Amino acid sequence: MAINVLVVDDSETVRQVIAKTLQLANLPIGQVFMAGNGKEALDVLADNWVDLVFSDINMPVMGGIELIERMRSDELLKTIPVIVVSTEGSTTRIEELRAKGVSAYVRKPFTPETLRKVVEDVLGALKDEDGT
Amino acid sequence: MKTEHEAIIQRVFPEVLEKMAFVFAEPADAQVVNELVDEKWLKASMAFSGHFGGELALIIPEPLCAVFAENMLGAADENSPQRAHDAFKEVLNVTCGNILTEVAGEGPVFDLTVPQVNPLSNEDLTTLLQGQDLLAFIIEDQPAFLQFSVFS
Repeated sequence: MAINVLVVDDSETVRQVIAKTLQLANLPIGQVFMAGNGKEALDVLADNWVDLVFSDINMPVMGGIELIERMRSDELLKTIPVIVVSTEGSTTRIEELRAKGVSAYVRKPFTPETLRKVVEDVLGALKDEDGT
Repeated sequence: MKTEHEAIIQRVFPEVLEKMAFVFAEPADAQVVNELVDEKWLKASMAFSGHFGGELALIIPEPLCAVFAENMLGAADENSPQRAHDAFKEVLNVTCGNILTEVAGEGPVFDLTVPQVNPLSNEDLTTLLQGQDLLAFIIEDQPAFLQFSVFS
C-alpha cells in the first residue's frame, strides 16, 4: 500500500531534501504533499488523505507545536502520526514533543536508512494497535 | 574560543557537511586560507539562546552555495540563487543544532533564530579574519570560516 506523506517546513530546500530522501529510502511512497507552515498543512489535510506527516517545529504563521495540537484535537486528524524533523538534540524538548503526541523524532542530518526505520517503526506500531 | 569548543567544531562541522551535503571539509590553517581571498563571499549567521547565548556564522565563497544545493537537491540547472542560499542556510542551521548539543549536552533547550545570508565585501572579510572565535576549513578545495561566539 502506498503511503501518502505531507512534508511541513518553511524551507523549500528542506521539503525537497525530505521528499528526495524518502524516495531514496525505498519506501512505498504515494503522493508527497508540501506545506510551508502549520496553517498550510491543515489546508492540505482538509482536502487530501495523508498517512504520515513530517513537520518542522519553528515556522512562521503557525509552528509545528500548534499544528500537532490542532491535529490531536480534530476527530479526523488525531490518529495521523506526526514525525518531527529538527536540528534539536535536547532530550528535554524531545520529551515535550512526545507528550504532545508526536510519534517520532528525527534529528538532522539524517540518512535514507534512518527515515526508513522511523517510518517502519511508526507505521508498524499503528498496525499493532489496529491488530492488522 | 575555548579549546574544547574548537575541538568539537572541528569534528562536528565536517561530519554534518559530509552527511547532508556530501562534501568533505578539513580544518585548515587560517593563514593559508587568507591567501585565497579573491572571491565573492557570503556570510550566513544565526543566534541562539537558552543554556547560554551566542551566534554562529559560516563564511564561504559564493560558488560553494551552488555546490551545497546541487548535492542536497540534485538537478543543478533548476537551482536558482534563492535555492542555493536556502541550502546554505540549512547547512548552518543543522551545524548549529549539532554543535550546541555537543557543547552543552542533550539536556538543555536552545532557541535558534532563522539563519540570514548576506554578502560580505573584501573589507568586511579582512576585518572578520582579524577577529576572534574563527576557525578555518577547506571545503572541496575552497576556503571557509566558521565563527562560534558565546556571549553569556
